[in-house]
Amino acid sequence: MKAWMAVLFLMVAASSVWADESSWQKSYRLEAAGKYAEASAALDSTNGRVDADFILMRRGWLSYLQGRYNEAVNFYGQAISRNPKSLEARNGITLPLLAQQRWRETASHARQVIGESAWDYTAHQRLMVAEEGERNWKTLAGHAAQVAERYPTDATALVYLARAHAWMGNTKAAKEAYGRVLNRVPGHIEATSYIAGNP
Amino acid sequence: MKPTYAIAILTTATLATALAVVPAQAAGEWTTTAGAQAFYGSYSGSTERDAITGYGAVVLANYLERGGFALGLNRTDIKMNPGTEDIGQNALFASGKLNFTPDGMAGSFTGRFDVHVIDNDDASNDTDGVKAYAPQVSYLSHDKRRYFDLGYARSNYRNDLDVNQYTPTVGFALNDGADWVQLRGWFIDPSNADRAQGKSSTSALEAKLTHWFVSNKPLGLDNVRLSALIGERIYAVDQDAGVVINLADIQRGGVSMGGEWKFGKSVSLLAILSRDNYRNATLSDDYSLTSGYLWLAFQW
Repeated sequence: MKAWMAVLFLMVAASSVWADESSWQKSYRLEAAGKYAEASAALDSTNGRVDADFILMRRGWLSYLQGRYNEAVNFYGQAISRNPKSLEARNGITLPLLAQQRWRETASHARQVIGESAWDYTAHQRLMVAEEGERNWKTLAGHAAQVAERYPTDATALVYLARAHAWMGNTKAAKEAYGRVLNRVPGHIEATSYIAGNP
Repeated sequence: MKPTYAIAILTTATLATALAVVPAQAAGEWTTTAGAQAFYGSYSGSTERDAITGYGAVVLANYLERGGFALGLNRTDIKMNPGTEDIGQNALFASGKLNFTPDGMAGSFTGRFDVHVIDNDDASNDTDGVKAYAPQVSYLSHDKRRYFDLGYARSNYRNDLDVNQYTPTVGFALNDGADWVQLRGWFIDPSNADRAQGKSSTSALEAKLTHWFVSNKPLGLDNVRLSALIGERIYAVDQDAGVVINLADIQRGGVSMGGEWKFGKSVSLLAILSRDNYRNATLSDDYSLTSGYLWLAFQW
């Protein structure tokens, strides 16, 4: 009997906690459970006048997680319209755009972020992805070298630098960049494979 | 003997490439290409034709990956052999396209619509006043390794002739994208065989190969192209070149080879040499056209 009472108490307590949780809390809880559509729907009851652009960005993110890329682009686009100064919304929209391999549109948004914040890491990283997608190796090599100078502990920029040199046939430069990748991430599969294949 | 006039304008422009390829370094949302083209061809074995010259200008603009448009104007002059009047022709071309990227598909669709208007001084009016409408739906995979399109064209000629054309096309990349192969079927149905060398339908297969050099570029070339056409076609509307071949004779195969140079990020030069075979059934005249084509483009 005591056990049943305890279970009943816990159920009431839990339902009471959930009943009191805000729309935001519910949305985060559902996202953590992988229920992205429900997490987005939970935002329906939020006050749309407060943090309207944040709600739209979060919906964009949750749509992106569901693979609903066009919907995600629309949400992020609305967020940008509401707050054109939002660097996060512009970086955010690059995610579904990259998923759709819309390189030029990605680059356009990344450059607008860079115009406001010259060495925003996220924007430069997304721009490098777009340059790689366009197979624009010369531009990518120069860009990745600049990013690597600004973020010397970062391996990602060096990977892009190495790939660009490899595609341009500059084996020596590619090996050097991949070697620097291995200094930062020992065992990096791509770097190890390239250096092993180009003794 | 009824004169049969041949009008072939700037047949090998790479409009499709120009419409599709825009570099990532473009800073603005619009990427614009303006180009000038020139063409010269010499006929061999033709009873009527001696030489053909042409020139023109094309402007293409793309808005990010969402769509674009193109406008072109071409002038063509055909020098005939003695006894047949020369022909001068102006051709206007306009094209618009929209891109769609559906969720759940590993590629994007493009809907395109072209309009051609041709005016010339062909005394018979057989090749004058031509209007052609050419919609096309295409699909390109995200990794740019697979492509297909279905093109249709409806051409209206004077003197009781309409032409329906169907051009199913597949394309695919080889060697990590360094090579591109495109195969296009040409199925053309003229409504009036008496106006089409006795043909109520023609069919042909066209194969194109493009190879891009990443390093070790011979002669500084960015890419080289080979093309071959087998079978027969007449009154073709070429959506890659953006031209109507309002030629009253049957094309019976052809080959071409070309190369493109790129100077910096914004200037390119394309040169193509072609040899095409034709037949005028009315005159029992088999002849060929050897031609050269130049396309100089500026992009910003």
